[in-house]
Amino acid sequence: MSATRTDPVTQEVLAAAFRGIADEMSIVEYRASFSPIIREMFDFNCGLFDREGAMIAHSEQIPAQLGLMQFALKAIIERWGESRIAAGDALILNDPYLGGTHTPDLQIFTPIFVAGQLVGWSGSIAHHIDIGGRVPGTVSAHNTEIFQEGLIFPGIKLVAAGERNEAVFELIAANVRDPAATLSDIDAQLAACRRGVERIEALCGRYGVETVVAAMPRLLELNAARARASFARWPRETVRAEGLMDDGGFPDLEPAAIRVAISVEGDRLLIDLGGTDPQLESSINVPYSSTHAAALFAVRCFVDGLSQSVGLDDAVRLVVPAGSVLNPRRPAGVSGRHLTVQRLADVLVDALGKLVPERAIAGSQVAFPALVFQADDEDGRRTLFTDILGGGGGARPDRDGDDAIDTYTGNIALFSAELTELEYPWRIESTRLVDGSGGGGRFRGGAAIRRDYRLLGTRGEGTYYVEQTREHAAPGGRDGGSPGATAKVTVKRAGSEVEEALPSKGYVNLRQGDLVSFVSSGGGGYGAAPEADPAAPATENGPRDGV
Amino acid sequence: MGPARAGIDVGGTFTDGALIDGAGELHVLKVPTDRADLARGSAVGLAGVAERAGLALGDLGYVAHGTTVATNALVEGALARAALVTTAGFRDVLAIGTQQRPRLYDLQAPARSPLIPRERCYEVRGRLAADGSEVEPLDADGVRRVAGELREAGVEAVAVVLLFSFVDRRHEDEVAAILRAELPGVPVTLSVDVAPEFREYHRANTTALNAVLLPLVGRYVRALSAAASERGVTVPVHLMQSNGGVSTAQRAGELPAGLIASGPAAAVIGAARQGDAVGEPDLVSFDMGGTTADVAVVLAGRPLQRFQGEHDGQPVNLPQIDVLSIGAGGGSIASVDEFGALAVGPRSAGARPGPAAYGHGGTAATVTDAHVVTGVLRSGRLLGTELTLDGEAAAEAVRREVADPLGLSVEEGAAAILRVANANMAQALRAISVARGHDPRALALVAMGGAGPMHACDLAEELGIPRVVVPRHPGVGAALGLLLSDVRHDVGRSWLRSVAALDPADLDAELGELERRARELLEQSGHGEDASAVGFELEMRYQGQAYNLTVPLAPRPVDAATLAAAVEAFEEQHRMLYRYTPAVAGIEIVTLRAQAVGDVGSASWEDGGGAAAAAEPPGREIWQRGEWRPLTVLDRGQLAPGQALAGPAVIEQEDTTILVNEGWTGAVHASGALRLVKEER
Repeated sequence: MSATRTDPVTQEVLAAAFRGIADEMSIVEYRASFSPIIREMFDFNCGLFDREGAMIAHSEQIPAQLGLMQFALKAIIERWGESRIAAGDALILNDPYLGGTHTPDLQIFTPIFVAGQLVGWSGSIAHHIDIGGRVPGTVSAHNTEIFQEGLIFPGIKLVAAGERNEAVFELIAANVRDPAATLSDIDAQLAACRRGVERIEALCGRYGVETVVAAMPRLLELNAARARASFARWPRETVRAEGLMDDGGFPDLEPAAIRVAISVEGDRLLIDLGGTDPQLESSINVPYSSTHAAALFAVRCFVDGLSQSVGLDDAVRLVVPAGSVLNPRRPAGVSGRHLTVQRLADVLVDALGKLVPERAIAGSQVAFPALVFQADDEDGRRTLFTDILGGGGGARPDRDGDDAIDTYTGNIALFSAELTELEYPWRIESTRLVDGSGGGGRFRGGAAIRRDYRLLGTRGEGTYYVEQTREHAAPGGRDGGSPGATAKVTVKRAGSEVEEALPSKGYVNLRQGDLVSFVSSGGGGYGAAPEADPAAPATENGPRDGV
Repeated sequence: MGPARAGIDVGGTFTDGALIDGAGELHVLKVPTDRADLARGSAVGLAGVAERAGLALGDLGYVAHGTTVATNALVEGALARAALVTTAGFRDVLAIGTQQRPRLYDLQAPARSPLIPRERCYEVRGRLAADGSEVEPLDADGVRRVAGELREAGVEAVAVVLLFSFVDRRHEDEVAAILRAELPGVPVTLSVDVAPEFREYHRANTTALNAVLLPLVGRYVRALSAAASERGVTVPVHLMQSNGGVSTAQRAGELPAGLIASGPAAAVIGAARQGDAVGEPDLVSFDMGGTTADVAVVLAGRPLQRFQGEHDGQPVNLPQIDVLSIGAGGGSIASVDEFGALAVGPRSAGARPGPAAYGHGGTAATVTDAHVVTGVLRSGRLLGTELTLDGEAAAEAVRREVADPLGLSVEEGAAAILRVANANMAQALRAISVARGHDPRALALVAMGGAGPMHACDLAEELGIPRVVVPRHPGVGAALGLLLSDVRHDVGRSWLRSVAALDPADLDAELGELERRARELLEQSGHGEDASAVGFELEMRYQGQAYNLTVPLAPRPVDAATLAAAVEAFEEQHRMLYRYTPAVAGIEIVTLRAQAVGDVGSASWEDGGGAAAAAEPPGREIWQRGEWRPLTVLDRGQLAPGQALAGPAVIEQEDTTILVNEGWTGAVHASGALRLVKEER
């Protein structure tokens, strides 16, 4: 567009401005949002993009949604061509095979025009509580094809030149389980995108369009240069790691394996996921864009000062075979992808820790207990309630793992027990750290969480999933440390004192008074415990008050 | 004009005093902080500023104090051995927190550690439902057993946090009664008294913060009162709270968590009052010191408030002035990485070794060094009483750290440092103004702190702010704010109701209860009889949202019309902030707030002024816009009220330097403040 080379000072000034705008967009979005998953749990992100769709700045809510919006935007640009994009447009995409994650994550993009010229894009991604489909909350590990996963938006105009495409809004309202929340959250996303447009317009007014536009590619170059300089200093060896899922999404399927080999080629990093298992009949497959996001997350943990922008593509070569769990072919189901994304991040962090031992960490929980329960209260009012539990962080070379955190590419906030009971026919009876759940060792893994939910309403049903319920999938210890404790889900039916185990992923019907309990996994330990008997269970090694 | 009033602000490095005497003349003082004994240091500082005014401490009619004692205790971890007593099932509420990580891409960074460790968290049986009904009665015997364990554990303070106490406080009250009887002398603080709002973790953390500060701050305020009266102070000492109002020492000792942002709050009040004095009620307060820059918005003389904040990584749900603090100050370090990216701050060279120009062995290039190179700060100039600026050292640092790596001249390197520092601060100013719907073009910028007046014109230009106010003593803004603050007590509670189904009489009854409590606090602080007012605010949201907007409510009694006005104000604010109205109709009230304000008497002041200044002989130049340009140099002490000046100019004074850009004109106000106006082009 322009050969102007921005001077380094202006470059830094504009970089700060871009970051500030992305942050402001994210504040608009969560403050104006209606669904707890966005407003209380922060499952969303905002970003700015150059004219070609490369991400140049982003907010920092949840890494799982970063490092992938560019795929969706590029699909939109390809589909429409610049000539058919106008000021005041807003386009919506959630198709996992066009750069989406899973269908509930709606991505909305708005072009930024200054003086009639397209200078970039403003975008938002947010997890909506339900986008229709087979089960309340849309997500399930047990979908067998994408068509069970609700509405699919392939990059269409939600707003055209400022005119809302009411037919699309009506179609959404007719197909989702909580239309008021979904439509309001889309409005919040649109407000965030408009804010990005206004701010870039103002920035162009202050610095000139040419200067602002020229600063964008330079940011990407700098990001890649930073990564390459780090890689060039890393040892020339190939490191490998692998991890198993509990099963294949359905209990009768063999545990899916993720395998990686990482090596440095000159000053580029090669991440080869070639040994990974073929795609599954369940929906714990990961679309390529999400695999990419997990890879960039892991790299960022080992290189300082990076932003999760596509400039990294010059520095990281990611090989993912088509038709595998991490790059499935349409129409495989993907709504339970986050479980596998977290396991992938765990495997990558494990491997990179072998290249850069001072940043190594034992395995963290990727159990990720998540539920979406629909329930009717005494007045017949129906609500959708969702919650997500963190668990134990892996121990480090010089300190214990963190208790009760949402790990790796997640960063979801725990929903308040008081808000739960104020807004939904559920009572959270307890939320505790699980004693002895952190793996033992020289340094102990972080503790898991157990949370107990009592149904106060007349009836309820819904989906849930939990990983790492089986020993072979438990968070790994490192350098002689013990693995963390496994996760589980149980139910105690009203009037009964018996705690029944539930399958790790499933659908449950509940009656008033039933108590469902989710337990996440503990983090792995680091190093052999000095005097402990290696055969002793992990519970013996908790140095802090029995945790 | 009444008797003399004094404010004493004790910061980490300096203790600042301000005093307005009976004749309305302002006196100020800046001395190093007595870190060994903060209470004694405060009293000594007070005596010092009184002496400057030729007064004895017994002559003072009003004394207010700003302190970092609570902040320091939190940052340094010097916290009491406190315990948490909570509802069965929630012992780990502090340890679990929000389950979010402080740094997403740093796997080695430890998570925030809880204010009260797990081994001193205890559960008691008994539970209320969300509507306040009793699901399970309180297990009083269990509470007594816990009391025994607390005694055994030797705890120094107790936080009691039970679920839904903001709906009904009976269980918390019962627990408190038992604990107080069983543990005489151990302070017990209840979540319903500290932060009666839903979301158990945030309420628990705020209450825990109060508990861990209680013994220390309690001791401090007692020592402070004793030290003051020993030296002859006859009036009670008031303490500045994070909400921008003062309270009695006794109340401050009961709610120490309310002191956590005492210093920054006082500075904003100082900016607000000094802005008001020159006819600028709407302003941004910009306070830039050695390490940080604090910014806040003031509208109609009132600083904007927020109800949640984070201090040292700990969420604190108490009303507080909405101050945004960023790591940009005179000591902020500039560096260029191997990829040619220039960063300024947040690392700071602090006071020791400080900027290279200080000559204390600092080698980093700082913002202050950049000012020396560009000629804003004169090489060889005496700063304070002991420090001479070393221009050679500043130039060398800027050359080595910034100019050479970027291939720039030393002047260009210095200008680059200032541009990046200004960009960071402009970002903060945008975040609190434009991003929150306040147009900076309608505001004035009040510049305070040692470094603020050097950046004021640049920042104003960047944001389109048309006017700048530089108080006569920018370095002691917080101390002046102290003596000009009202007494203020905030009370509030969660009260979740849909507006559509609301009977205004019910709302009025609830607010009546809050008003009673607020007036009681005023009376306890000896201000029940003064001209005092209780104001009401509602936090509201569209049903389903989580983030509340705060709107004022007309004085009681509430009726359909005043409620409708509040709803309209809410809708208008939502449109202003987010530029749309949600399609869903329902609006709900979330939190009720009342503020009792006791007017402690107003004060105006005048600057003695001096003889009309003679411009320094020509020859001094400043590096601006890529070249050395001549400028006027003035001595602030020589500027008389009414005197006019025009940029480019530098005005020097003991505690700061003011840079007046080209295109700005200024006049000295009777209060001594300098009011600068950007010329229309």
